Formats: sequence, structure tokens, C-alpha cells
Amino acid sequence: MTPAALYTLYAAFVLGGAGLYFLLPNPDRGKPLAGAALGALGLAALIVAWALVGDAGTGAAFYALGGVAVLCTVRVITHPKPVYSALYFVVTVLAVAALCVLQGAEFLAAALVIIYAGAILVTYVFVIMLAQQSGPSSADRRSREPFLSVCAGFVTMAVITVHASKALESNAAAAGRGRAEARLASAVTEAGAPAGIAEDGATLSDDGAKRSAATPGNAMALGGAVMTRYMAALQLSGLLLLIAMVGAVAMSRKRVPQEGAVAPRAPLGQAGREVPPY
Amino acid sequence: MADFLTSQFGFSLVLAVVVFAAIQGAVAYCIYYERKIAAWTQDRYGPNRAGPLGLLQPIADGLKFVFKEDYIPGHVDKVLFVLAPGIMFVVCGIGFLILPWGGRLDASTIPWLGSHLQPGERMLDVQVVSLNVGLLYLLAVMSMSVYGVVLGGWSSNNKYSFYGAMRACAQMLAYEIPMGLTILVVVLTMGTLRLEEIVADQAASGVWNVARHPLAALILFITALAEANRAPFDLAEAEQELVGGYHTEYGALKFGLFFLGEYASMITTSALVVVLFLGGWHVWFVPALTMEATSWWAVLAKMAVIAVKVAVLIFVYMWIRWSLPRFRFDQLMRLAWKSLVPMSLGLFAASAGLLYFGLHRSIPACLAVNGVVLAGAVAVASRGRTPITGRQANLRRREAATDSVGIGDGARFAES
Repeated sequence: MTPAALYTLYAAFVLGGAGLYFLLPNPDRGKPLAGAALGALGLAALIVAWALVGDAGTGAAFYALGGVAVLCTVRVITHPKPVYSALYFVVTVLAVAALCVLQGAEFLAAALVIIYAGAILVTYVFVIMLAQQSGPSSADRRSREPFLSVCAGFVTMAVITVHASKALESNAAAAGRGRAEARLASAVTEAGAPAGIAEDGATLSDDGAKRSAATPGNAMALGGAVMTRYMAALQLSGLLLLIAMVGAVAMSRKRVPQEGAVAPRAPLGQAGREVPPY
Repeated sequence: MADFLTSQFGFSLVLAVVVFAAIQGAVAYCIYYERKIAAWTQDRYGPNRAGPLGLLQPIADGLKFVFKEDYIPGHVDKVLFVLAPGIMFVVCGIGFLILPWGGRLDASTIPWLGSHLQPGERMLDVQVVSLNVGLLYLLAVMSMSVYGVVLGGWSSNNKYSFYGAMRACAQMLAYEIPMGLTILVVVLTMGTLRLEEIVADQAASGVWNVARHPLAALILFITALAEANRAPFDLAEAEQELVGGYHTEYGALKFGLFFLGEYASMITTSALVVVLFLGGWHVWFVPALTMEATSWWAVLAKMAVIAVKVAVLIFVYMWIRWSLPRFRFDQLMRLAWKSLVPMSLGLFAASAGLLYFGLHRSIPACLAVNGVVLAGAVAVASRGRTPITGRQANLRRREAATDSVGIGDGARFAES
């Protein structure tokens, strides 16, 4: 990575962070034009840095979708209305899923849309709508600790991006410059999956092997990797989700008095606020 | 030009436009079909004034939607109010892209356009896109369709619309789970996520999946009803309780878009059931309806077969709508979480077991598994002591509460 690219990348993060700070909702300020301008500069610097890093293996579709994802993410945290924030998040998820498709990860893209956009964010929207029946709250109009959160977020992002692009560069150098397939493969190897996992997964059924040879796809390879190499992680995450679910049920459950028991009447306005322990 | 139209990309473009237009037309006539079926069920004539047999009624209705005043009430969230019908229409309108309508087409048999090609030189998929995660794409699109309903209901700023949106949200989330699990049963049996391969497999072996997994087919059909918001799962609109539910405040073309979306998703979900369980375009003993028949008229015959199967399923949808009363909300949730989810989970686990022993394609083994799951469900259901009334058995009765004040049922003061 050349110093020019590195410093452009740092400049992009500084500009972006400053822009975001001014974009965050604050009723004492007027229209955040300065923030928008700074943010746009930051985005432009990011694109320049990306071009300087070179061999990003990307086309116009990548820049368009990436731009949509970044802008919508900014709106997720700067929009004063929570419902709109959640909807911008949906657009972000869709854009990221499209980026996954560009990289040949169709399964990941489909899973992202089904689970995030189709289930989790629907639940978010559901909760936000239920919680906001009496109009927007004043807490939504002012962001809390904007400076610290912007600093923390952008420092983390800068560290991750710089290291990721360095790793990308060395991988590309190792695996033959200029070929997106080679870089993808080396990234997978880097991440710990053996290169032969596609064949391992495909041996699950002969039919499947023939089909996956005819039409390369990663659903079967991913399934093979998850069910062999990452079995323990899969089981543990399943167990964690089960524990979380049991805990949620236990916390939300209220004891219903048995037949004949007379429940004391709660004072006016306190009904339903306290539930006796059981 | 001829070369472009006989390439896969050009053919897919043409097919997308044609199928989209056909679905829009079919939606208009679905409404006519629905009104006629309602009329037959209720011993009436139904629409019979516009044109012969009332066949021009859908066109009159469509024109009415277009020419009505496009009114936006003052109290709504304007952006989302306008966006919601659009989301509904787009999301319901892109699901068909993945469906296999007619096997493969030998481009050289297309009249005029294919005359410069050798037979077998260029084979086209009669499918707009052929993804290796086809089923997941369809699931993803279906899971997005809830946004149209929810945003329409919320942005209307009307309590009836809002109740409709809430109900739609909870219902879609609940019924997606058994739907996904039954689809996974098919994936385990067939070993692929590609819809065209699932159909080709059923056509080659002559065994439709419904013969292996009748219970899974039934569960998928029930959840498809729920996902399309059709009666008896139409609590989101529930005219008798919620005026019109999420589309109370809508009129003119925006209301029309909601309607188009609802009927288009009916067509897509029925086509999904047909493809997964009813053999797609396959019918026994007809030489034109095999994977090997690739001439243009065989493809048209296959499309006609799918259309007939979809029409039969839609007839069943409508028959159910005009025969069964609507669920109450707690019954709806109980049906999803206490019966469909455990049954489909059991089926899924059992299918995985069959796959492990290599029996996943054997009809007797699959039927036995379905029978065991059904018997288990019946056994659990018959152990219930009291009929389902919606009132918890261990709650005090309303009359017995000495200190009752305010409005509400037993559950409300039992909490305090």
C-alpha cells in the first residue's frame, strides 16, 4: 500500500467522521449542510483511496451499491424518525446483499435478506411502531454523546479497513494480480477454509456433485464447511440462541393466579407494572 | 436482432415482459373469477352486466381505479403512504422471475427467429433467471412483502389500519417458519435449491413430491394462504372488524396496487406449491410434457399445464375463502406456533434422518414418516382437555371478580 493511498484513506475517515458528527440530529443546529459537504468529501476521498489501492476487482456496480449502502447507513443513524431509520437499514441490508452477489456469495446474500430484512428488521419496525404511538419522542431529536461515538466508530472502522486492504493486497500479490477469482479463493483460504472444501461438500450426494460441477455455486460448499470444519461453532451458536430464547420466555412470562386465589388490586395507574415473583 | 432474441438474455427479457403482463392480466381476471365463485357459493349470479357473462367487468374495474381521484388524506405520513403500495406491487411482482415455466427450449425450433440455428445448437431455459439459490430467492422476496402492508398500515395514521399492520406483521413472521421448514423438506428430498431441477426430477421419475410428503404439501399450502393474506388468514384486512385493515385510507390507483400485489402473490405462491409438490409442468403419459420435449409448442403446452394447475389451486383458495370463517387472532397464532411449527420441525428432522439412511426418495418411507408425524400431532391434539375458546382455563371468570373495574376481559385484571 502506497503512502498516498494510506493517507487518503485516513483523510477519508477523518472527513467522514467530521461530516457524520455534524449530520447527527441536534435541534440547536440548522440544516446540516456543512456536515453533508464534509461527508461527501469523505466519501470521495474513500473512492480515491480505493482506486489508489488498486486491484479492487470492482466495477461501477460495486461503487453504486457501496455508495447506496454507505449513504443509507448514514441516514440510519442521522434520521430523527426511528421508523425511517429502520427502513434505511432495510435498504442498507439489500445493498449489502447485492454486494455479496457481486462477490459470488449468493447464499450469503439470500440469507442476509431472509433473516435480516425479512425477519429481524420487521420485528424492529413492529416494536418501533408499537412504542411510538404517541408521536415522536424528544429523545429522538438529539443524539446522545455524538462526539465520543463518532470517534469510537470511525477509529475502529479505519483500523479494520486499513488492515483489511493490506491483507487484500498481499493476498492478491500472492495469488496472481488482477484476477478476482484468485483473490476470492485466497481470501477463503486466509479465513481458514481449506480450498478443497467444495469437493468435500459436494461428495454428500453424487447428484449434487454433478450439478455443482455443472453450475458452480457456494451453497453446498458453505454447507459442507459449516457441517464439518465449523461444527462446534455451529452447535455452540445454536445452544446460545436456545439459551437466549429460554431466557426471553422466562423473563416475559407472568404468573397467572390459580383458581380461587384473589389477586390484590393494584393502585390506580400501577396495574400491570409490577408482577409478583414466582 | 434474431440472434439477440434467441440468446438466453434476450429470451429472458422477453419472457419477463410476457409473464409479467400475463400475471397482470390474470390478476384482473382473478378478481372476476373470485366474484363469480363467491356468487356460485352464495347462489347468486355475480357480475353479469359488462359484456357477455360479465367478462368485461375487470376492465371496467381497472378503468375505475385509474380514473378515480388520487386522494391523499391530510393526516398521513405522505412519503411512506405513497411508497407502501409501490413496495407491495414491486415485491409481489418480482417473485415470478425464478419460477420455471416450461423446461428447456431449443432455440432452433422458434418459428422465423430460430431458422439460422442448427437443432440443439442453443438450448434456452424457459425461466427468467436460473439461480443456484432459487428457492432462497423466492423466500427472500416473500419475506419482504410484509413491508408494504406494515408501512401502509402505519403511515395511514389510523388505528384500524395500524391494527391491520400489526396483525399482518405477526402473522407473516409466524407463518414464514413452517413455510421455510416444509420447503427445506423438499430441498432435502431433491438435493437442490434450483426450482427447475426440482421440476425436472419430478418429471423424470414421474413421482410428484406430494406423493412422498402429503403432510408437508398441506402445511405449505396453509402457510401459502397465510402469506398471501387470504381468508381464513385475512386478519390484516378483516372488513367486519377493521373497516378495511391496512388499506382503509387508500383509494384509486394506490388501492389498486395493493390489490394487484395481493393477487400476484396468490399466483406466485400457488405456482410455488405447484412447482415443489405438484410436478410443475409435468403430466403423466404426455410425450410433450417431458424434459426431452424442447420444441416451442411443447414449451407452450408446459406453460398451459402450469397455468391450469395454478388456476385449480387458486380456485381452492377462493373456495376456502367463501366457505370458512376467519380465524380469531389467538387461534391464528396457536395454529402457527403450536401445531404447524412442531409438525414441520418434526417432518424436517425426520427427512434429515431419511436422508442419512438413504431412504429420502423412497415413497413408503416418506409416507410412513408423514403418517407418524400426523399421528403424533393428532395424539397431542386429542389430549387437550377443553375445547379452544380463547379463555385460559385457570382464569377467574369475569362475574366472579369482586373488584372489577374498567373495561377488559379476564386476562387484563388477572395480570395485576
